[in-house]
Amino acid sequence: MNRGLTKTSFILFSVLIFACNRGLTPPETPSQEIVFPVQPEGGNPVGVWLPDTSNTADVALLEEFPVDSIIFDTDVDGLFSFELTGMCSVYAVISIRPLIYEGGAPLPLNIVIQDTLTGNGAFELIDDEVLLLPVESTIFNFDTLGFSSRQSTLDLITLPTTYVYENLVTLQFYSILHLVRLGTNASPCIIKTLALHREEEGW
Amino acid sequence: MKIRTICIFWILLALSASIGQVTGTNKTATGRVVGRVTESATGNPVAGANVLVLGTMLGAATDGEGWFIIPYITPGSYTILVSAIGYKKEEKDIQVLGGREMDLAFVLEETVVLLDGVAVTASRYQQSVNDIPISLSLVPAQELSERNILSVDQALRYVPGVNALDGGQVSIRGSSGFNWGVGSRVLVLLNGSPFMAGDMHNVNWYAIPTSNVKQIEVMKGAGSALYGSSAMGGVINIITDEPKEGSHIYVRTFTGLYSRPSHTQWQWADERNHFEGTAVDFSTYVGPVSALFSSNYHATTGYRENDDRQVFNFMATLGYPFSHRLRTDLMAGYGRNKGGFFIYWKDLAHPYDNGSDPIGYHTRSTMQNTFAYPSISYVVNDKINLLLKGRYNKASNEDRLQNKGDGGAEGLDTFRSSRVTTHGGEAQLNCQVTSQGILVVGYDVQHDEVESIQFDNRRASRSSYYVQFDQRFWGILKTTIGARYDWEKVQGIGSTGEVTRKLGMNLTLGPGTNLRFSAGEGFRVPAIAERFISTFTAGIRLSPNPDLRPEKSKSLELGIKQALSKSMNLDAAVFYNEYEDLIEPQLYRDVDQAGVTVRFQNVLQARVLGFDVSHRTDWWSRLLSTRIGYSYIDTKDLSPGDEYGAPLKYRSKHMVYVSNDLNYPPLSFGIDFRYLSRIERVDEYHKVFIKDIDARVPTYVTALRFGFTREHFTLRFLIDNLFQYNYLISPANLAPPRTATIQLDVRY
Repeated sequence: MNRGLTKTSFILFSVLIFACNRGLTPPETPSQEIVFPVQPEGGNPVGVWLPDTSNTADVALLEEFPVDSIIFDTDVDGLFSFELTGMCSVYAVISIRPLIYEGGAPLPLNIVIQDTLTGNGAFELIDDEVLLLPVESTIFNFDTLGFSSRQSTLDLITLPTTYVYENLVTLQFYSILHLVRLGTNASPCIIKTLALHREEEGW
Repeated sequence: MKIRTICIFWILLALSASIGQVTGTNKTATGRVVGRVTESATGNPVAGANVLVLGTMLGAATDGEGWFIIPYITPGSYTILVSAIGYKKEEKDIQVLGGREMDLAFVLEETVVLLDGVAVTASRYQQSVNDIPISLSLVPAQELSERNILSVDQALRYVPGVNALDGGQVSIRGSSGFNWGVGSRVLVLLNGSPFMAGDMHNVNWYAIPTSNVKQIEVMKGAGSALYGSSAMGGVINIITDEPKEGSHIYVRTFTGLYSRPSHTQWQWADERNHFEGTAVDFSTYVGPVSALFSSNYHATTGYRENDDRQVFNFMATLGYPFSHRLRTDLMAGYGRNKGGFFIYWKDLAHPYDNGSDPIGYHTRSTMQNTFAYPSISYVVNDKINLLLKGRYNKASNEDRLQNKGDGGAEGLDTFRSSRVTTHGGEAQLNCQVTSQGILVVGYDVQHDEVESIQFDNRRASRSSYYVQFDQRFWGILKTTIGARYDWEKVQGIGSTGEVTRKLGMNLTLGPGTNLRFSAGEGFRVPAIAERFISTFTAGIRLSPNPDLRPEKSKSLELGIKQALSKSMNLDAAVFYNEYEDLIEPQLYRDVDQAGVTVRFQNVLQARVLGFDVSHRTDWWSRLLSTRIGYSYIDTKDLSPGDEYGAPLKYRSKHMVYVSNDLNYPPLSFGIDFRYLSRIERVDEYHKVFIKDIDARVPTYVTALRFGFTREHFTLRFLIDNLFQYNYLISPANLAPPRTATIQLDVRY
């Protein structure tokens, strides 16, 4: 009896110990590396942000364009809200008007790249410098953004975007949206809305 | 309420004194017995031996040097019984004379039957484990020091049928799942008094210095008929050390390292994570006053992001005998647990990254617990004891947000905070009403005051009466019958009352064979936190539910203790538990808030059946010892609906514990192994905000222990999780990787 139990115990013990070489392992598909034209600095995106009216966005071409010069006239309107809880709401209208100059005079092209971004839901941070947003848009790939956050500013960096105008002009560019933290000089209406929103969220 | 409590205490004290007057025994000068217990083979002292004066309620346990004292014995003829684990019982007939001291020497021979041990939890007085009608496991202090256990709940991981999840949540025989640390279904006592926080009904394990623990008693099965609310799955009683004759000091210091994660992509910190700590115990006598001071400190960088921790605790135990009958004791302490707050991982690709922190912030928590438990014991005569106990416990928990980096938004202030103050007391009377029968009656009262951001400011009052009668028949059958009435009133809700009952039998069939049977009822009143919580935590909104009803349970058990041979014994039990109105966090569509929240609800009817077996073998005069425990726990959800018949969440069906010890002085070597089968179900709502929560595996953990002892010093080297196995300690919570610890114990 004694010997039998001892043998059983030993076998059980050995089997279980040798089963120990397994366990949880990382997922097999590693996350794809996302490369932005400008390296994002990361930071903390939490807050409510408005377009910087003095410089709403910078746009740059990714390929040389065979003209004398090209200037982008940009306009961004809207509100970006990122909550501590991981929830966000985004509503913005982006307009980019490229002004192409050849021989000292602007070409008579009326190109307007306009996109409306809307989204509510959970956002995700990757390596503290990439934002994944639940945003719908038609032109810009706005669901994946790099960001650089400072005390009162937030820059959102888009991935490269290709825009084809009437099969005549193809533009490959990226843009950086400049946002400022909603401050005390914002409109009282927006501050009140924000306060109510936070109260609902339990803060 | 306080005036009423004090009145009842004094009435009981006066009643006891009156009984003493009637019997006339307290007028006679008493004698006392002093003695020493040693081992026959080596002459070494036997520590922890139980010494009983048969036919009375008097007794004592030997100290580290084998000494014992039993005072207040009424003159007469008695039999003194000495028993200790691993030794034959020894009896001596003595004649006690008034005002005289009798010296005794007991020499114990090693025995084949290893079933003995003494516990107080089952009946509120000391008795042999063999006599107890319900399954009860003992964890001796030695196991805590040998494994460098830093928190009492960690020691419970080696008890058959018990599982301790991360966060201090203990489950006995599948009683609990994972409830975010709220509403324990296991009652935890400190020297017989409840040690539960009044707001969340959880246990502040960090406040108890593990170096001061003498024994942990784990009673399995419903125990509300003696202990009231929370004792649904069982009762854990932490018995602390007592001051010994002379002055003694014990110092333990240790330092250790965590291994790097086993997969390079999991690596999250450049520096090596580590931990260290020190424990100091000092006991002495100043005149008649006995004193024991114990303090532990340990700090860790943690092995995960925002998981660093600093724990400090202090405890003092003072005793003063006013007279030969009246003695007063005070146990007081303070504990602080400060550090990060890791609830769950980011995802399986980043399991050491904190997924529960708000974006851009770390949550930092500070928990504090101050307590004082005064007691007065009055020996009315050798058949009646009166025990009056008070309790004061103040616990606080505060969470703050801290910026992760420099460029983020400004830090926010405290966003979660709860403070609870508990006052209470208990009067207990133990009477030997027949030559073989003991009656225990008592009254318990408690008042909790909660001030909290997330639970609101609330008050709750409880009072209860209990009675238990133990009677032995024909020297071989011990029966137990008991009942308790608990009344609770919560501010803003009203009052409820619960009656619980118990019945137990223990039959000695022969030397080394004991059969036991028990049936008991349990209940748990919802915690204030479960009823009134309103907060955001870890990405989810929790909403209140004041309509919660108490949970209830019924448990049945049939067990046997059997000595199989000269060096082997077996304990086996079959159990069946029914649960009603179990409270679980559930997704809830909140009409007022127009959103989905989580709130606690009475949702579950369930049954748990199974068996557990534990076996111990000692070879060659305990040169080599083996302990094996196995538990089979089959759980079933009996709630009407889609999940009818499914297993309960967060329970393992199989649990195996194996422990081997080789003692070849001055060297010692030990190996421990734990296996828990994969948890079959988790909460669906967790999937909403916790990534990869379905990534679960069985648990296989192996630990090694080496020791070298020379006179007052013991040097130990410990390796935990030897094979660097990646398992979970709670949902989405990876266990520590392999750790290596060097520990030095000094005892004078």
